[in-house]
Amino acid sequence: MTWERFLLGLVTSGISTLGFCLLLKLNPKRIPAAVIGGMLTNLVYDAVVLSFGNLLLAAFSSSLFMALYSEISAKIFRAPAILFIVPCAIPIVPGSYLYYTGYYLLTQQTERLAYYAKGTLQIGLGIAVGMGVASILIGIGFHVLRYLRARIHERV
Amino acid sequence: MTHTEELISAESAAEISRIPETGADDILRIAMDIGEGLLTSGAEIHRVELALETVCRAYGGEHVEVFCINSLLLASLRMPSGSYSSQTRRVKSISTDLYRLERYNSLSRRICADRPHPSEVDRMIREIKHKKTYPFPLIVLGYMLASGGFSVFFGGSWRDGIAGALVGFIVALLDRVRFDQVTQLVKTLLLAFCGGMLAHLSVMAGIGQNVDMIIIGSIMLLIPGLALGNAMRDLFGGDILSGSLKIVQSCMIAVMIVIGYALSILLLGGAL
Repeated sequence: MTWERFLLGLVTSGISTLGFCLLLKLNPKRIPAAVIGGMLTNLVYDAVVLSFGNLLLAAFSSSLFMALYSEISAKIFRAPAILFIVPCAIPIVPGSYLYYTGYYLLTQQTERLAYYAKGTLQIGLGIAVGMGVASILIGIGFHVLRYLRARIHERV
Repeated sequence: MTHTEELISAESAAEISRIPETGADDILRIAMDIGEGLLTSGAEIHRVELALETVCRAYGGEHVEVFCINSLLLASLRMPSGSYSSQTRRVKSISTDLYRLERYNSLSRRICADRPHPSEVDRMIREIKHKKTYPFPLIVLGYMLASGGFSVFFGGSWRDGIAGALVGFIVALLDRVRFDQVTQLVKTLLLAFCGGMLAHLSVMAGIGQNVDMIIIGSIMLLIPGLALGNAMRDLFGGDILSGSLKIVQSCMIAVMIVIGYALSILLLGGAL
């Protein structure tokens, strides 16, 4: 991947996330945070693919990052996390893999079909597990915070 | 102490007593309106259930039971006076509106904090329900940016981006057409088919260069991102039933997208 393509990917992921913010009717005040989240999620995905060449790991780490970013944004803006999760996750949704899976299924190119179907599953699984791990981590984090707050209150 | 109980603290019991007691029917109806609003705007199941329970408890509900899946809302409420109500709502369609979702969520928080009179809440619900969140041209612009942006994002040229934006424009107009007689799945298939045909036509007309990139850009418009995101959060939040239903729904939508585009490739792409 060239630097030019990398930067183009970053800019277009921002434009696409902005588009999704509009079509999902996101509160305009939340749009900048969602667009930045979408771009950063794509950045994490590209960085892991370039470093390790592993789709599952890339989808997992970018999804984990996206879910944590969304939860933090939700806390800052006092809004539901789902407002940020959906637009931020859009750049890592395997749209191209889904298309080529269908295309090679139709044209009966078995080897390519297997490659793209595997890629679709890997990315889908990576996103799901990443979000799941993030929700467990966030649950534990809030539990610990609540516990600490209660202890501090007791002492005061 | 549960999260709901934390929201309605013990010291607020005195404040609750100042509100003239409203019947369980009215309070549950208000809570159901908020829950239904959240669900139809695209909220996760646990948020809907939490909002319903919180609103009922804010008005002094003694015992609240809520059950929610993607298409159904069931709740019962018993007040300290003994009045009891049980209500059901069938949700037939979900139209994603994150701004409205946020407004309903803010309303439920406000009810917890201020406990406005139920008639005032009724007025606020009507206001949220009828207030337009986004003008249609802005939504169309969103379709164009998303479709065109993704055409370039996945490796297309700037010409593909322009063609993708044009396809997005027409898909946005078609998406607005009400298909009363067909299900969401059939509508997705039709939109995917139209998107594929338009992508091929744009290349034939010399606007775009790579038909696959233009199609991928428009595929992204139809992918059930919100449903999948919600499904994961529901599953890991313990709502296995609704999470599984949403995953099945998302997979079926993905199959419909593939069939729609495949049909367009068969007709104009020369795959046969």
